[in-house]
Amino acid sequence: MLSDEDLQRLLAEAAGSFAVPEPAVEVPQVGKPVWQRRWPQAAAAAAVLIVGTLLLAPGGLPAGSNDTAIKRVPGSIGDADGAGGLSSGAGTTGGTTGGTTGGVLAPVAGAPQPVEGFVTGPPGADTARVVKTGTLSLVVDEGKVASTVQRLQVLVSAVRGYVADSTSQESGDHPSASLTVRVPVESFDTVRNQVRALKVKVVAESANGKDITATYADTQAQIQSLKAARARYLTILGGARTISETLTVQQRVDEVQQQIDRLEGQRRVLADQSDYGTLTLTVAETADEVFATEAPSGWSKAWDDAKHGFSSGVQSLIAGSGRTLLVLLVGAFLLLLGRAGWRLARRRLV
Amino acid sequence: MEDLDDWLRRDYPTAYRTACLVLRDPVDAQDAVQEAFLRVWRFRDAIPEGEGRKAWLYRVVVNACVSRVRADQSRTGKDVGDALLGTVQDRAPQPDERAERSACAGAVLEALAELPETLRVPLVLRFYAGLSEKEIAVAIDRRPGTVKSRLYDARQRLAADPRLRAWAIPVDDQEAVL
Repeated sequence: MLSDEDLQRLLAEAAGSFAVPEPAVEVPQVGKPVWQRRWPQAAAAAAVLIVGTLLLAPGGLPAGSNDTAIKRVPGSIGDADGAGGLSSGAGTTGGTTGGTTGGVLAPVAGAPQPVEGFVTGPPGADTARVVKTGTLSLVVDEGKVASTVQRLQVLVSAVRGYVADSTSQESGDHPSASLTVRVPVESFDTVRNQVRALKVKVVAESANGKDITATYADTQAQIQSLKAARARYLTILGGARTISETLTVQQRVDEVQQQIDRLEGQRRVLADQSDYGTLTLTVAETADEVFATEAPSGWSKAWDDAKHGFSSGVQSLIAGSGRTLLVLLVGAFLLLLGRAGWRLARRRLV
Repeated sequence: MEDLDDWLRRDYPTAYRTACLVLRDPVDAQDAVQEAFLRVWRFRDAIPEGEGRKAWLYRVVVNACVSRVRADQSRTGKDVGDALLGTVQDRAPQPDERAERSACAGAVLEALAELPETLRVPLVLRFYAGLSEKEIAVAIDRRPGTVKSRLYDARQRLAADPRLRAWAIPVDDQEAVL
């Protein structure tokens, strides 16, 4: 009969004949309590940073969620400083929600592009990301539309911005142009001030800011988490021995990679929107041309329609009255002529 | 709770060699242990604390080994049970492998190969992995009495195996015999 010691020695001898390979599976760290995991710490740190940034920002937390102003400005052509109640858009960076984002503009060929993977951008971008948009409606002297557009392009290029879209109407009685320019967000207000300093009349202006810091931070955190998961799956994949294991893990890797790609796209869009402000510039010789691009709605549209209908009706009446008067005059002349002829004929008969 | 990574680093060699003794094939053993570790990771929330932990972990390893053996049997069309012998014999070490192993190890492996799975698994768990009879009962999902019976049968068969008699005696006596 074999003793326990004999069996242990023999089995140890037999087992020792198998060389132990390095474990191909690296089991991730799991099972830690919540307070030892990294994501609550990261979330708490992000929350502290966001709240601290908002509290330390000039003016503190904004009363409204969004500062948007459009105001027609009195003044004459050549009013250099644009005085007269321009809305500066101050405080727009403190906005949190709402407002228009400006959308994603297709950059024109040759325009400088944000660097791939460029995340930080302007100073403070790690903690605050704001999408800035604005419009400026300009009226210039007759024949100065083209030259003003050229000056605007030079001004935008000087701050390393670019023209994302451009339309112009140079023929006809009222030439006009519209530019959509992207400028680095740190130069956004500078460009607006420089445009106002041109010898143009600013007839309308708007500025808008939307805080996307939370969205950006959330997207970035998701990407980092997914990249960590991908690394773990790749480690497991490296140790997979069977086809079924390989296919299963590879499928998970592909799924995670797709999620990373999708979120990276979102992050790049958010980074581009917050790295470059979008400014829409309208240039025309008359204010009517400038505001012709605006699309009123609601009560203002109804009132405008009523005014337009009334004036159109009066114009139609006046325009039609001349013809009617002419018909009446001709008719009266013919009537008098016929009456005179009738009287003359009756005398001859008598 | 002990970290899974620590357990992997500490018990991987023993788990791997346990699987080698059960399956007698290093590649299959490595697959089985990896599969077991993946299962452990997937169901990590179900790992019991305390003394039952080791038995639970080896139960996963044993199940992975048995699943692999039965998958091979289904592919080769052989029955489960004592017919395992034929399957195991198909996995007999190649000449170069045999040369690398000591004569003692070769004899033990050949003797183990002739044991049915139902006896080989508790024997390896008891005398190599160091599990108690109670832990083996948990690992193979049988009653402790069944474990004791199987261990007795396994020992009887090995004791009757002439290939192990020369290695069962003490070293001093062995030298005297030689």
